Amino acid sequence: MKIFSKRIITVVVACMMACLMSVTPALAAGSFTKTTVKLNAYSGGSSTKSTVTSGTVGDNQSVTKVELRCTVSAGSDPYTLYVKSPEGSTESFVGPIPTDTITTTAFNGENPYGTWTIWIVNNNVSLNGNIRPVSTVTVRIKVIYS
Amino acid sequence: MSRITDYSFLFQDMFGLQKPTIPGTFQLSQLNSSSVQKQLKAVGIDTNSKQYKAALKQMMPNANGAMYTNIQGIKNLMKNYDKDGDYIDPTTGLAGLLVTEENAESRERIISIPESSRDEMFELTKKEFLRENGVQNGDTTKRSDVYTNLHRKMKKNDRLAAGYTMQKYERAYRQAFLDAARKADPEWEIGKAIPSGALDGITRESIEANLKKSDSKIAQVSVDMKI
Repeated sequence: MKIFSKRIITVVVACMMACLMSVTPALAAGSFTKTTVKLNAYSGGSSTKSTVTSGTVGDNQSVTKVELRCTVSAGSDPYTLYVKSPEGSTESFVGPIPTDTITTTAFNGENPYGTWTIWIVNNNVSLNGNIRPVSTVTVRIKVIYS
Repeated sequence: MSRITDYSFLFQDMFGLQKPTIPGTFQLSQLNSSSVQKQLKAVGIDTNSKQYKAALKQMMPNANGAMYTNIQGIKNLMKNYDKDGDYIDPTTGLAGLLVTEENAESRERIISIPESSRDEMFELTKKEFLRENGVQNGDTTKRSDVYTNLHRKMKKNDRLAAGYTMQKYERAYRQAFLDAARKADPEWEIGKAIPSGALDGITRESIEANLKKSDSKIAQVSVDMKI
């Protein structure tokens, strides 16, 4: 009997939690995902500066995390990735070789809405001495806020 | 930013004159050799400069001694840094905006920022609030321009903190407009037309006075910079 009542309580609690979960996500958590153009940089140079905009963002939001999915073209040489927020602060990351995802909390607390700028700089090192170092990357940025 | 690249090796290769090697290319393991150091000095690279050291720091992650580099590329990398070895934002030409381990905590401080910048932010926030009916439209906003203009007025080491401070003011201005719209029409919601004249009478000074009462950190830096 005791086991039976415990199971009922467990099921009821689980149902309540499930109901709460379906109601509370609307409490302002959100994100947007955008992809840059293909970024090319060679011999210590900088790529084009790709801009992405946030679209409409709810009221009083703050960034909680930024994810950067870097798709690196085959044969690319090492590079540094730069991300600039709408408020102007910038963070750099040593680009993943090969394709990988980077997560950062450097922009936490900033208001996410506006224009984000992303570019790479070729690190000027290569395994091949017969051609200039070249990096080609496409970045998908996901800004998560609440 | 001009970049000079010598393509003569391509023609040499095309006509079979010699094995294709790029002028000024060497392995990283040879970087400290006297011959490479002479070449670097010959093209005007100061190997004691912070720019050079910053460029090397950028080259080294994911690299090893067997990898190749070239002198022109080092010069290109050095152009990304100022005389203190700080990264220059290529979109604005300003240094001091890169978040690093060293400044990650210190940037989150309230400092005195120019009244002219606060005024610019107040006017822009009001204009966009009215135009977008209170919606924060990231596709059309010009808020980044206000931040950039502010950064230009600040010293390099204060730029990140200035941006952090400006964000506090920006949020306060917007909150005041939201409160005013709701006061004018309790049924008003973001996205609906803002009641006519709802924002009249709201001044930057009145918002900032309230902000200083509610935020002790902002009150501590109440001395205004007049620029």
